[in-house]
Amino acid sequence: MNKQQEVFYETLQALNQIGILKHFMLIGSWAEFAYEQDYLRNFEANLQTRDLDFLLRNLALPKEKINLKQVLEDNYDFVASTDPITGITKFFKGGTLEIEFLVRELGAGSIEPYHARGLGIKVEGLRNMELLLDNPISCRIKDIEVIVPSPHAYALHKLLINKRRKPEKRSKDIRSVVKVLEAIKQIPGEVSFLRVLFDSLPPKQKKAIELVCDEQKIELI
Amino acid sequence: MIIGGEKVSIIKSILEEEYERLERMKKAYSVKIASLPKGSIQEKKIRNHVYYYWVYREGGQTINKYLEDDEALILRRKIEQRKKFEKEIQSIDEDFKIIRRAIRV
Repeated sequence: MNKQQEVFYETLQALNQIGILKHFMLIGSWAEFAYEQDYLRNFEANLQTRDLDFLLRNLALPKEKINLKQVLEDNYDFVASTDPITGITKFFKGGTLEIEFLVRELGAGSIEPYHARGLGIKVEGLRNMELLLDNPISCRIKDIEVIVPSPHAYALHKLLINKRRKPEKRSKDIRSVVKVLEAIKQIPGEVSFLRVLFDSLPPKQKKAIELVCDEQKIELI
Repeated sequence: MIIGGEKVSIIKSILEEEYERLERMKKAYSVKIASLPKGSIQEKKIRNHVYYYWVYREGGQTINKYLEDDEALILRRKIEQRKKFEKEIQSIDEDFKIIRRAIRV
């Protein structure tokens, strides 16, 4: 592991020791690192950036409240920073990672950030997270189990939100999708799961995904 | 399919985003470091008992402040954190240099 990957592992260790890692799903480019480590054979993860995103699977958890900011700063050498306007708290670790905790947008959505009461911090809500949250798998990073979306859901989600992303992010996402799909197709049986998952999506979402696949000349299944 | 020029533009946009992230990181580390104590903890052994002193400089003078054992423990941890974060901010500065060179900010 390089320095950044070690800091990533230390972050997992900290959340695991506090007892809250199980409440999160690792999303974003670091999920690809988890696939590389423990799920997809011959898969080389896309470039890992300094942003490390954890999606809180249930806003009402953890039931036992902790002061996450204080625990991470005092015991695990994280640096916390709270935005004075939004109240959202982000964390920095090892001078190399920016860690953000997120939740799925509820109902019609909210302009205000969400209060994760169990963690004692305000977090940002993101739309269209159901596809990821409904398809969790567990990957092992050294001795730690971390929940990530299945690579099938990860790829479909990136295609689904592609049109709403900034142009430069769109290209990066497409690059990820192509690599993840290639790796999925190398594992017997995985394509059928991709098909089942795609077929289970609402027609509007299927259409959005097919449109991006056509434009980008991606053979989904 | 991703081809040459597009690949370069993806990398450039990633680096620009990383640059902004480093700026946020450096600011947060600077604020945190400023909130942590400077100096060091010195131990003096007198008749089989260890006494702790917080030694730091202020206005050109060296200050020695006696600490109770539990105070010394807390302060030592905070001073260690400060030193750790100072090292980490150096590594942030190194990363700044690399990204600046790559995107010519």
